[in-house]
Amino acid sequence: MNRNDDFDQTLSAWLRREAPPQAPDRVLDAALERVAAQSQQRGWLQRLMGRAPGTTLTRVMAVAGVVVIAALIGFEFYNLTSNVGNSPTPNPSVSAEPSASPTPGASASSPEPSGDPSVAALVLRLEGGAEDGRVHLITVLEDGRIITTSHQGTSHPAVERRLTAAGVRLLLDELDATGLTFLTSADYSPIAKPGVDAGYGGAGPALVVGLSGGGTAVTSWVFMPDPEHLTWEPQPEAEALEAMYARLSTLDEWLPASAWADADARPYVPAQYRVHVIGNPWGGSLDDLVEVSEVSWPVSASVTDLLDQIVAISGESDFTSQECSVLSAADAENVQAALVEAGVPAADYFLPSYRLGDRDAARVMELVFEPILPQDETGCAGGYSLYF
Amino acid sequence: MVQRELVELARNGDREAFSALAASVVDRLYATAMLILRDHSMADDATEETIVLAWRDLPSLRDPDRFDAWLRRLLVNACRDEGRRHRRRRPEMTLLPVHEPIIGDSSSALADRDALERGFRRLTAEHRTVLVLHHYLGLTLLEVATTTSAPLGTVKSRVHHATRALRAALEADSRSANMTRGGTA
Repeated sequence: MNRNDDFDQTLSAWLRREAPPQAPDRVLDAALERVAAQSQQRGWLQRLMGRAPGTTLTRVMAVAGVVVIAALIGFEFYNLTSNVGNSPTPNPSVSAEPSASPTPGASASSPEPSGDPSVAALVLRLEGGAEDGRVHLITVLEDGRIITTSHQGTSHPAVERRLTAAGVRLLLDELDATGLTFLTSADYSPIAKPGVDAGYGGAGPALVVGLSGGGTAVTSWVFMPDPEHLTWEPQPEAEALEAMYARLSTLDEWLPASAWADADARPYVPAQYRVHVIGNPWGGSLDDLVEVSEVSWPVSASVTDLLDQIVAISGESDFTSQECSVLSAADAENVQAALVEAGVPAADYFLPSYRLGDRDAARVMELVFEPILPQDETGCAGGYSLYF
Repeated sequence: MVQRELVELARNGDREAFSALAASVVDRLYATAMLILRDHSMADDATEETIVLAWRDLPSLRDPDRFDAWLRRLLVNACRDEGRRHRRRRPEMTLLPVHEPIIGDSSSALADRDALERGFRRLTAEHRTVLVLHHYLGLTLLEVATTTSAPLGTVKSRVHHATRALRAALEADSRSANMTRGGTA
């Protein structure tokens, strides 16, 4: 049994112990008193059913008759209105973003290793949904490299392995199984049923597919399970995408050994990092923290830019502020070495992270090193959720 | 009479059947509301509201076998509304009852319980909700998503975040307890 299981059991036992075994009598009494004075709410169909005379069968037939007549009237009305220029409404959830080529992932059918692995084209990237942005799950490149990030436990290092061409094909089969083409970007966000006031928070997952002529198609969705269809319109596309998501995020459970050209996981070595600088006025005690000015920062243009970001948010406001700078792997390594040398401990966080003191501004300054994945050219405009 | 029959009768307006149905579920509803809201008065109101709404909207439930899941969803919505209504009010400092004898608990288990209580109270109502549904009612994450009308990814993120926060609270308490012991030795 691992540490997570232990904790889950402790938590479950504690909740069972905390749960009151009985509701006070007053709760049921008060509720039933209100129920006695309240009538039930019935929809128009139920009201019609309730009022129609005769047996259940004849009532059903009577109601069905009303529905058929209403449908016929509606059809006639549609024919009338269609003569005045109404055209069918396109699916509003699918954007008409142009794409360079209508052959998603076709380039992956021959994932021969390219000369320079850092420039191999993107086959697909799967991102998980979270409350505050998305998280990286899988990146597959044309040369068969697959980079995965696990979100189990407290540390989430990305690891790299390599698939065969057939292995990549198996992944693309999962995309085909959705019945969607991934030719252009599309968004399958939930649509509330008419008259229902429903909202939701957080970002859903996304699938980024590389197109053979260059460019990408991004498919995003938010799956809202609603078996009764009380709140949301049916979401067949989101449901299919969620099934694909479940398969791609559990590759080790079903991919055959033959799909792997190299199944040994190695730490992913990025070429660049996004270094997030977070200034937090409520970040805790400054007593044990090394001051920003006590670090012997290495000298380079990008480190200078990082220091500019630190200065920019120092004492900026009473709220948490965040800036970002892109560093090469070598610069990021040098900065981390300088931090360790100055006695700054790495924080308990899922990415390499260091906490410094900024006593003049009475705030904690945190540096978080986020590895940038191949074929991600978004720089500081992109990046994944830091709070997952 | 089995629950399904009671649901069918109540759905057709039988108040007696509904009273029996409500009596059979009220304890579980109240316990869940209490864990989520951590306040007797708010749990009272959320449970009462859930039962009244269940009566009012029962005709809209198409499948009587889904009554429990449907009712949970009503309860979670009622807790959410209750939380919003009381957001600006000062929290009531009611002592929570201890339902099991604490004799035999080790001091570290008691400390764990205190730390869990503190950590749990610091979580947002949304985070407490997913933990209660998942770890107390034993729902799968997909069922939690259905109950809370939240995307599956959001539910996963909330469980992850809440678990981390609680674990951190426990570890911090354990560290400070060790330091105290170290200091007095």
